[in-house]
Amino acid sequence: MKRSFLAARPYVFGTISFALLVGIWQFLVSDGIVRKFLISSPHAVVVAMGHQAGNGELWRTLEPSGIEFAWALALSVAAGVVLGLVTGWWPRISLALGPLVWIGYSSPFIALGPVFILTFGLGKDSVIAIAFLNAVFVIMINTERGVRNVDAKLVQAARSFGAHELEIFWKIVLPASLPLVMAGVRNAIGRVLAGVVLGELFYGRGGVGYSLSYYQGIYRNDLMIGYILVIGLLGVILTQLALVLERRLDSWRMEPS
Amino acid sequence: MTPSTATGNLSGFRLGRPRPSETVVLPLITIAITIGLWQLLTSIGLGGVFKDISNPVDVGRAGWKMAANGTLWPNAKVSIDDFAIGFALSAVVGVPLGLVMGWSKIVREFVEPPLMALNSMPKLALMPLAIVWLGIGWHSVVAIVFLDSLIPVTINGIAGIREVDAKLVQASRSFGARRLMLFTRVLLPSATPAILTGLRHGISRGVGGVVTAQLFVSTPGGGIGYLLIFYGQSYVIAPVIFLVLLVGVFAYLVNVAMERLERRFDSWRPQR
Repeated sequence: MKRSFLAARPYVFGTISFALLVGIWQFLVSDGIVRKFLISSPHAVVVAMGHQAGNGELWRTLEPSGIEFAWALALSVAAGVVLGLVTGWWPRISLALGPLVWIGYSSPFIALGPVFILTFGLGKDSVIAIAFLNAVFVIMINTERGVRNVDAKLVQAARSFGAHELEIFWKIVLPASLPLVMAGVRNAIGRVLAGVVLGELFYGRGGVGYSLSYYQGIYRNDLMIGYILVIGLLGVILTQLALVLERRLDSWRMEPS
Repeated sequence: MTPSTATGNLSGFRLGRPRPSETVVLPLITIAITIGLWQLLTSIGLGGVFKDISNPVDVGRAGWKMAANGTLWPNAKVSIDDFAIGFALSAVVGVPLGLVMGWSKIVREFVEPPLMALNSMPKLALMPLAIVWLGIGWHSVVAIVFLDSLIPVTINGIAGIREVDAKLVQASRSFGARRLMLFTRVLLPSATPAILTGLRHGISRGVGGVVTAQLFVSTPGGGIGYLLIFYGQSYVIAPVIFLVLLVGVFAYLVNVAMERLERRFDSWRPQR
């Protein structure tokens, strides 16, 4: 009884914590401490979003964002993993590409929007490009680190047993660097989401970011807050999915002694 | 002592470690080739993407012009100030919060879920809300920078306390250390490297965050982000590319400096 309470406690406390936040928010409005115009209210947000879900507006907003997210994630994983494997395997290439990678990693690509608009036009393709650039370098850096951290003894052993370079790459380096690759992908998911939301906010023609800025523009704070919560929820769900995937892919692994 | 000695470094024996001279020359060659290629592709009129990207000479000229006519520095200062205030706030709140959350399980179980939810969402999405509450201006920018760097600072504070060697704590307890003494003499020094790591991550989040948040602030003198929107909206591309690169290089240099600082405290890091 006591043990099961201790196991459940984090969930209980977490729920209480969220409930308290919502309660305080509702209290601030219904007690008139803060004007409802400014922060809306949990009740108003739920009603407004329920309406959006009912008339299909929510779905029409989520669909373009989902498509952009999927494209940007797929492209950045493909490009980031390949580039990271190359730079991890050949240290000189890593050195040579170093400055470009690090500047790319820390540059605010969202501000390059006008360049993308001139190239790809307003909307989907520009958003995908921004989200892609936001994420690709994180995956690349993590993949490179993964290849570098492969246990040298494994490689030596394989080589003594006569493995070719290609075999070493496929059978040892690739599987052994998987955990760090996945850590990079998890990190990238957040960055792709941020890229999609911000890209839509500034340069989009639809999607959650677009709705967010649209409802801000017409002073519908209930819907604006509603879409912020939708974005937050998407972030939580996607990160949790990545964690599950990460654990599953990693389960065969033995801890290094 | 680098940790790579334990596992061995793959690159170390595979193809030979690059010579020290190469660590300087190779990056320089890449930068030269990149700029040269960029200039070439834009000037021969290849079309496609290169049709709309200004060439390096134009970009450099635009940067020089902004620096000379006094638009660059005042706006850079606004960005640095906004960043500094937001980051300082996140350090003042985040470090103690992280320490308390690392220390007390109950506090952690209460605060962690909302904090993790905040962690998984793009903080810049909160900017429209911040603008409604705090107005278009530096208050909103500072609030976003604060939220953006608060998370890594706090999470690393938690990890710092929780990774303290339990034997150290037990030993000091058996020698009669009180809670306060335990905290100041054992827990805080052991957690310092992790706290520094958190501050470094907070800084790199904050530098990116301040510029992006300022994109929403379309009032003159609103910082680098304002300049980016100002030129971007009229599709004057050269200064936009210059500013984006400037921010990227700046963020990278700050990161390198912080890594150096962190390494100084590495000997304090708890051994596992």
